[in-house]
Amino acid sequence: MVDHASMTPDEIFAMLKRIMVREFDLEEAQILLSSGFEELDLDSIDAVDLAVSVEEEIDFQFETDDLAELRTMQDVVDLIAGVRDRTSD
Amino acid sequence: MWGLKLTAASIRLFGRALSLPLVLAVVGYFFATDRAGRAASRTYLGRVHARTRPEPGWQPTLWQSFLHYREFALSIADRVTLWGGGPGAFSFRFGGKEHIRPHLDRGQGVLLLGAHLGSFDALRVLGEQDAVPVNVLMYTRHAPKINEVFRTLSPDVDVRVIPVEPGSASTTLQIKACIDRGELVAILADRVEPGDLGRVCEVDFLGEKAALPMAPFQLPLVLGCPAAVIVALRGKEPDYEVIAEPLLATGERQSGPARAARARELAQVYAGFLERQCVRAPRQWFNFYDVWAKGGRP
Repeated sequence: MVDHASMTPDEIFAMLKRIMVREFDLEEAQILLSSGFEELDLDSIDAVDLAVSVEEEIDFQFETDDLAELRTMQDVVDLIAGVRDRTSD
Repeated sequence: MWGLKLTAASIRLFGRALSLPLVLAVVGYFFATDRAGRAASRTYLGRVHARTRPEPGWQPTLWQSFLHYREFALSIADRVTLWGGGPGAFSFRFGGKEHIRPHLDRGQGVLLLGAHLGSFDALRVLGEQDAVPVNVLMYTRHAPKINEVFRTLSPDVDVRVIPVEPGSASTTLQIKACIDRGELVAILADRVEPGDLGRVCEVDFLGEKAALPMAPFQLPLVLGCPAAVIVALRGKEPDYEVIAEPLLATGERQSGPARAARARELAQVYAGFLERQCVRAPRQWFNFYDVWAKGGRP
């Protein structure tokens, strides 16, 4: 399993796009860093689906309140890259 | 909530047997004043009767509908007794444990999909008997008040309620955390709530199309965990028969359109299970609204 700490933001975004194209039938060109979940027609179940798929690929664990704060793909990349503060418990 | 609090107080003070007239009176009040509920009861009784003894033109009487409400009153009394006096007041027979126990023995959590049919609280017994935490999903508008009533009855019991926040991914991640810990997560999957935001599917139920929320059937496909359908039906004596059948025997991950299609298949399996149990215990269906109406919301 890949260590998320060793991944660059570009690699993280490429991984996310790959997962989303595979699992949500999206075109890669649709997925921008500025894209929001709603814009991509993804609901909360899809968001968790994405989180589970990410956890299967890399050694990153989403915490219960993480997804509530994420609005765009940039937010997701920042969270995994460790540059975004996590919601405190 | 006032009815539940009054029932709880009476049973605590006077015991179940002496409290039954009060419980019946409370439900009688609702029977007398809830015209839509009475109509829904008769619609449902007519449909389930058609499954067992099809007689052209048969219509349930007001008395039969009152007996339906009476059964609901007995279930409330049982519910309070279960929480206040503990499961020892009843005997439980379990059919289908083999669909759940092997997963738990391997440390794999299981999603249990129940309904407003029989007793959902009896599932608490399942967890206590097997020393496995049972987490129950409940809509937040109900959860705090109901928790308050049951904590009064059983202060020592770990009431593990996961509040459902409509459209929130956090709820799903909480469920995932419970499943990952090898626990049971119980969901009532038979009602479309406002938070389902229009994501429903149609199933065949007692001869007509009814709406079910999509989310409970998508959950095991997102989490890749096994799932079972489960009800606890009250017998003639103060005993309960818990019946479980597999919905997803093994973990299965699906995404996108394939997930939606598979979720619809699971919803129909669930509806078929509910239909069979309604035929066995027709008065233990406690959805007093027209489930076949467009949108099917309580």
